[in-house]
Amino acid sequence: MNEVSILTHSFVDAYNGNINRIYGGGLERYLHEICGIIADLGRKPVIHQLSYCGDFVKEIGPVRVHGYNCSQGDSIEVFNRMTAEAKGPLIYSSFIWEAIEYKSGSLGICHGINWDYHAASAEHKAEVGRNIQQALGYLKKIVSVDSHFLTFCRAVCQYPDPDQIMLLPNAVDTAWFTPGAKWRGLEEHGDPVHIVYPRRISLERGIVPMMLVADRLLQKYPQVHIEFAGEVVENNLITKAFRQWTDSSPYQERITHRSYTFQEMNEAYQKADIAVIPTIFSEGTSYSCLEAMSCGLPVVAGNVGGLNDLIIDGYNGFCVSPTEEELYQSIAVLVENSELRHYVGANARAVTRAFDIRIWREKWREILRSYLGLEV
Amino acid sequence: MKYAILGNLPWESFAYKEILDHLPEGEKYIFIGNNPEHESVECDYTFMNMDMWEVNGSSEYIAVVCSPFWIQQALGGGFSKVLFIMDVCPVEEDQQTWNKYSGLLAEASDLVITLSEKTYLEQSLQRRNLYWWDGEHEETEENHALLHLFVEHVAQGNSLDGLMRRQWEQRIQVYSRLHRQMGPHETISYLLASYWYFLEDTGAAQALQESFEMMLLREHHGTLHSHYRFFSAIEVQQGEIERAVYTYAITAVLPHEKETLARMKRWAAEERLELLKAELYRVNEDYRRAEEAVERDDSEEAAHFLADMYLEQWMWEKALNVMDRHQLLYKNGISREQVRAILLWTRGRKHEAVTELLRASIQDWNILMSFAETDLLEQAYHRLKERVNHGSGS
Amino acid sequence: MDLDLKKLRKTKDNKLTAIMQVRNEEGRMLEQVLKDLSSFVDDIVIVDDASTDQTVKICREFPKVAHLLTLQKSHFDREWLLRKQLWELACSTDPDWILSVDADEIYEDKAKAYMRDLMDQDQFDWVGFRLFDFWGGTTHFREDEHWQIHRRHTRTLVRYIPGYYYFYPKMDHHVPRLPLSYAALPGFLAELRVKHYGWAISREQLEEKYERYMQRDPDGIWGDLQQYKSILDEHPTLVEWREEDL
Repeated sequence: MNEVSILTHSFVDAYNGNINRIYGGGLERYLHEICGIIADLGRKPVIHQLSYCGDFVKEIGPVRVHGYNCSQGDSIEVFNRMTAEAKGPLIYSSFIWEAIEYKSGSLGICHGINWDYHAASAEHKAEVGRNIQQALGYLKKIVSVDSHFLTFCRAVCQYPDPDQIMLLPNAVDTAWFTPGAKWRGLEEHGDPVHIVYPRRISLERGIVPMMLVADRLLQKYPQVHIEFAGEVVENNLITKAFRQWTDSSPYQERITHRSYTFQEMNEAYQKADIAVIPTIFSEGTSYSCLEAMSCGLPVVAGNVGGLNDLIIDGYNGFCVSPTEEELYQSIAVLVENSELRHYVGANARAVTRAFDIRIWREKWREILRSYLGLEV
Repeated sequence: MKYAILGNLPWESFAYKEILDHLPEGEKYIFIGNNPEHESVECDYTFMNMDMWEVNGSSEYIAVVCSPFWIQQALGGGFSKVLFIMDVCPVEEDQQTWNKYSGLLAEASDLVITLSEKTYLEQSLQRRNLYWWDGEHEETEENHALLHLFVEHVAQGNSLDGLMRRQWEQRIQVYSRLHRQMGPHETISYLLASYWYFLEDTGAAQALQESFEMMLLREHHGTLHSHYRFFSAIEVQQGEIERAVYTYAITAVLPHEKETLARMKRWAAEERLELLKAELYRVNEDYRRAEEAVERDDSEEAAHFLADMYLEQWMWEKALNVMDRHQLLYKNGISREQVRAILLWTRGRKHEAVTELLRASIQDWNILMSFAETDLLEQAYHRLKERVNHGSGS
Repeated sequence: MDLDLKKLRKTKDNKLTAIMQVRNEEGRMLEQVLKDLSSFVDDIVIVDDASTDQTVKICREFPKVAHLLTLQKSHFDREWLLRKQLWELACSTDPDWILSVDADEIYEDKAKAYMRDLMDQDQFDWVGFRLFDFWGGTTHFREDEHWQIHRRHTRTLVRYIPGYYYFYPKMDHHVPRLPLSYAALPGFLAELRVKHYGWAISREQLEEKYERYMQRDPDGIWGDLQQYKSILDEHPTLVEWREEDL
């Protein structure tokens, strides 16, 4: 019996019934990597996930995927069912904020804090605290992608072993995400300045302040072009707002919206001069931020979640409160100052070497060997 | 005069040609829609698509708007005057959206032309810019001739009060004649009561009584609200406030009506007679007189009353004025920014509207709901354009 | 401004006034009815339509009969006028609730028990009861093609609202007991019963009654000829009456 089971809310795209492809989000990519490492160690990686299109079993490369049919209200029950049915050592890769029933001694992963919206209810946050305390009683170890979850546990929960939570930030393939050709040399004043917003069009990712900031930048700086390189969800309210904003903008010809596949994403960064990641809440270690930095872009980011772990304000990027005024000021400074863009971008590229994926894979190999009781 | 007609159907199916014939003679007529295949008779008309329409020079044109979904073009198009033909919601469209933009457009138009007498009666209690086109009856010469006068007055910027009174008097003559011929009839008496009420004539009460009796004899339901309550409006109009409240009290049977009654009692006790009159008019859907009653009262209660009424009746420019003047951030679940944004949107100033909404949404995400509404308007507008442009050949 | 709305739709201390029109009731049920009424109403108002027997004397024996109007000339063929006069007399006594009773009607015990609750509220202004036509005696009521008054409700209990517009149309037949304008006000249809004994009489008396109807209305202008004829049915469908527990 050599299965290792990973429990998650998503892996293949069972939201839209496309169970032949892995959903393109950060969590899914992370798990894809882990599965590769498990396979390398000679074990069979099995994913157990929620499905909104019926039960299924699928083989995708080395991974077997079990889908468990679920509807809006009963995801926790389904999670508990997955615990009962999954075989081998378990890795819980989701729902750490919920009251799920863990198999004792398992491994957990926290992909970031998603309950940090400033105006959300304190009662809810306290309940999350209780659920995490509960999790700490069952999980042998939790791997955290950012320091914020680590701090949260230290400040809110109680546990005896200080190493129970291990910080392992996300990583980026610095060999794939490399600076583009225009990164060499200084540009002349008046050349177009391309700003990229490399995130999904959603509220928590800061699309609203981004639109307001974009208006002001486009008005003041005729050389600025802005590209929104992210997916939209059709018929969503925020999508309507976004479409109406682009349709009614007097600067339409300098706004583009395109969704890139994971393979194409590096092009988006390589075409750009500045990346903006104005997350308002719910951010682990943002892959977009790492990728943008790896491509040598100065990043203007919201000072939220794991972004704080990656950016030292003024050195390899700007880390500001994700509000219209602050974002605008930081971006404007970069637009006006090409030397600053280069200085910050170069530092950004250098910093990402510490987050290279090879380092990350090695650390995960160690964690798994230890957890699975394998010889080194 | 030059006319630009923003139609609701292609020319072949366009139902308001007779109305156009009765406008004051124009030197140019442009119909926004596709060219009809057989351009025989109507050679006075030039046909063009909305996309071809040049905004420059529109200030010389009077717009004749045949669907509320033209609202952005009508109010933002720079026309000298806007005439709005108010019709019922077509089956394929959403009633709520239709009513909303009908209301907003009517409020901002220079003249509203209603086609149903029932709508005309409701609207007479609200507007000072209203005309009814009789497409229903036999002898319509007098009625149709009146349109000519209305539009002339509009073009000259004169008040329409006198003409509205004239139309009401015309209706009274018609129905009085019918009454003499047919004897008491619940509908005719009710119509007479209504028109007399508009004219502030004391004949209203008796006609209403007759109608009420007929309704009872014929065992119709709902007369407490549809008929009896009307007595209270007549009583306020004649200055009998206490009596009016009592009459209203008899009809106040539902919980929200009892709440309104409690409010009236409070105003009476505090001698806030303007507010009391305004409430009495309002429960009788006489928004015009309600507004007049409380206009001079600058208190906060009056502001809340007006803002509430204005928002409900789509008199949003006035609502925004009140909200701004009295710093009312929210009313009836709508924020000031949302009101402002919709007004901007309907005047074609979309980008400003979007910015207003986005900025306000940072404090309150619910404000983003307005985008769902503007989206509905955009979709309705596109459907309208399709329908109008879908002439023979394209 | 002092609005006097306190008395409109009182929810307690409501006075119940019974109203009745009588004509030559001696030997029938008048005494029994008045005695029964006296046990649960506060006031009784009566208009006597020029009786030629001891009817008035019987009425006067009951202390709760507070107002009694005796007409000199009968309004026999103008029922609506009789009802209107009775109504106006009742209104002049400053009533709260009015119960319109005929001289041969008895309310079942359950109805009497609920009477106060029906009045002490502010949600509805009239109550309809189910009337049952007892036939040939006091044990059974009739239920067939022409005799189904119990299948619907009859409005008999109303709240008096001073200043409300009371409309008594001049009708020749199917004269309502109470002003038609109550139909506009909210009402309550109660599952409470009233026993009507007008037809709980002997075969002989039924035939007499039939003759009287045919004399008065031979062409069936005021009533239904078929229904008149059915008075003489040999085998009417009768249902046994069952008293209900409280």
